[in-house]
Amino acid sequence: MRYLIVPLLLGLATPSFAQEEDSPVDVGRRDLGSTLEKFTDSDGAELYRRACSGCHGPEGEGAFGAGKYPALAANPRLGHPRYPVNLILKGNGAMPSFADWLDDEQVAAVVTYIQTNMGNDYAGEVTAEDVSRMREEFADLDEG
Amino acid sequence: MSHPSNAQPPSRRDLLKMIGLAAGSSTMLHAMSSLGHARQSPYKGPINLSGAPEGRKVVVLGAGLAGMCAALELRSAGYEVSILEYQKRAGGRCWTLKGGDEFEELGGYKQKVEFSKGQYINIGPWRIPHHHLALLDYCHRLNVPLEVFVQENQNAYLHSQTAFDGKPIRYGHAWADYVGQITELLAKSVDKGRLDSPLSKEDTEILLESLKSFGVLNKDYAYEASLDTAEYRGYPEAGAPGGGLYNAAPEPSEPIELTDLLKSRFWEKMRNHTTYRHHAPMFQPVGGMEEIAHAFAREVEDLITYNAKVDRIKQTENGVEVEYSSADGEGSGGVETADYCICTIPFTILSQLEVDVSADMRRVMRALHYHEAVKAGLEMKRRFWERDEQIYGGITLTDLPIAEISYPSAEMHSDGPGVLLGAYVYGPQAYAFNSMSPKERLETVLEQGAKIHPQYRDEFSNGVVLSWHRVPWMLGCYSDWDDRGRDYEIAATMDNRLVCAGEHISYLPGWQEGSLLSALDAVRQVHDRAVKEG
Repeated sequence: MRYLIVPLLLGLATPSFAQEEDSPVDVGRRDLGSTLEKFTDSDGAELYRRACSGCHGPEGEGAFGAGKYPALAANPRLGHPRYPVNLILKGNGAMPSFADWLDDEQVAAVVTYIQTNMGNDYAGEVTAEDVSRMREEFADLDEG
Repeated sequence: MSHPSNAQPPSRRDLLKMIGLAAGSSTMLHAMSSLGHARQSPYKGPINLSGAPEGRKVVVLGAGLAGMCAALELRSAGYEVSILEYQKRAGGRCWTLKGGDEFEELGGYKQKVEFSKGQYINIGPWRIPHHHLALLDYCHRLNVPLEVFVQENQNAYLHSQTAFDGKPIRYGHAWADYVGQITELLAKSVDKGRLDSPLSKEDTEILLESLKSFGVLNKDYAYEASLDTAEYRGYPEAGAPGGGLYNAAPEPSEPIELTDLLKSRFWEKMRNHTTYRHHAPMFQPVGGMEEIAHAFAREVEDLITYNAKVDRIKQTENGVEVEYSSADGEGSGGVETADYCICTIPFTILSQLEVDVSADMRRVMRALHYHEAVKAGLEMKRRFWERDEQIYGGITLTDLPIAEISYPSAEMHSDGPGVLLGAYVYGPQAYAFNSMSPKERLETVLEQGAKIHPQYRDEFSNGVVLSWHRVPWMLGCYSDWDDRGRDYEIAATMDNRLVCAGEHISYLPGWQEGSLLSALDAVRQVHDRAVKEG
């Protein structure tokens, strides 16, 4: 494996790929909704699919091996947005931090999505302002 | 160090040769460091553990390189050793996929490798720096033949979606022209006295001379199309040096404009191959990286219990008790007891297990995150990169999500098929790949790669794309320490009777050398403790 020097590609437009009519796969996925540095979607469901579903499952069912990715479906811990926001920003174990890759609006969108889908029905309604406040608060906790 | 010009005693080289002949290579390693050769590694030759108390037992968790190395050394020092391994194979991330292999990712995606006989992809580590002395020494001791891994290739490409109409540019062209033209700018400003330079008049003259030589500049300090610059950047297709009369005389080639090079951002990639970790020559085992794992397994396979999923690690004042169950649900689990434990389970997984460790260790285990990575192996029916484009080994770098295409260093010039590393994806784009089915990943990798090599569509035969976050025994690729500090010391220090090892307990994350050096340090800690306890 390599030691990666991550180049900074500032302001690079996301490429659009030619779409083939008879392509066997979902061509909508081809722009990957991401750059080297950011997720680019704004819709909560789209963000969930691209950033989260690979580990937690398309329906939030989780995955289980030597360790696990916890199920998000019907998960009572998601009742308060603070819990998922904290995990997304700070990570925990196999869950990396997504703090640099998602902005406050995107975190709010994906948290709202998981709080109100996949068998969860919480009145969450977390806003970008809430996320911004929690970002500062968690950073303060780290320092203090 | 001063060298007396008329020294009478044997030269240092003669001395080293004599020591090497008389005492073997490890003594020579010691001798070299004491004689003042800088070796850029803390590895000082095979570990020497004497005085192990009788009847002491060590349980090793994980049969990757770290675990097998620790087991090998502890057993030869006189310890009783057992290894528990989750998989039904040894080697961990030292993993080579070959035709007939099958693997399953979390979420149930199964991929079958259909490569031709002899073809492979190193889906984990894939190259060895020449200064990774521990790994190279183990390869030597365990008879793993190595060959050169080509990292830098001037004839491979740099590619940007938005520069040069999306056409790939030969690395050597971009490199020579970039260096030539920034050197030109510097030389001209020095020449006109516009540079606020601390150099003396004499040094400034030498500097100008050096810039002219280094940048291949003309007498006016200009980098231009000439036979001189063609000697470095190459010749035009019609105009390469030949023989006889027809089309024989070489012609200059036209440099790429600096402004285009700047906008292409190719310069971001121009130091990749010259990082310390990628200095030429690099190496790879003949036949695949996993040959190293096989070599270790030949030594310690009798100690390994496969298909063992660790559930619980208990520590008492006097010993360690590891409860495990059958990983695939078939057969039974058990309990392994020992005096000490070397645990190479990655923290992504260890942090989820019930383990008796200090609160500090538990906190560190949770706080350490792992890099994501997606790697693709694509078998092509024909080695078109060699035949059509004269690219033999090396790496093309692109700003497409696939990030790179690496050409095989083995079997160059063969008429048969070849396997490309078709993608090495990091960051958010790796999560996007992580969310796709293997078929979608493959299609995406092919579509992107075809922008650089249009031959992909005709020549592709079969391929695999692995997402390391979906590997059931890893949940990630390799450790990503932000700032090691005190947390690293906690992770690397024996906690009661358990000590962790692996690439994550090293300053060489993701490199096998880190796994081995960490394992040797863990072995040292266990041995010191055992000797003390008697």
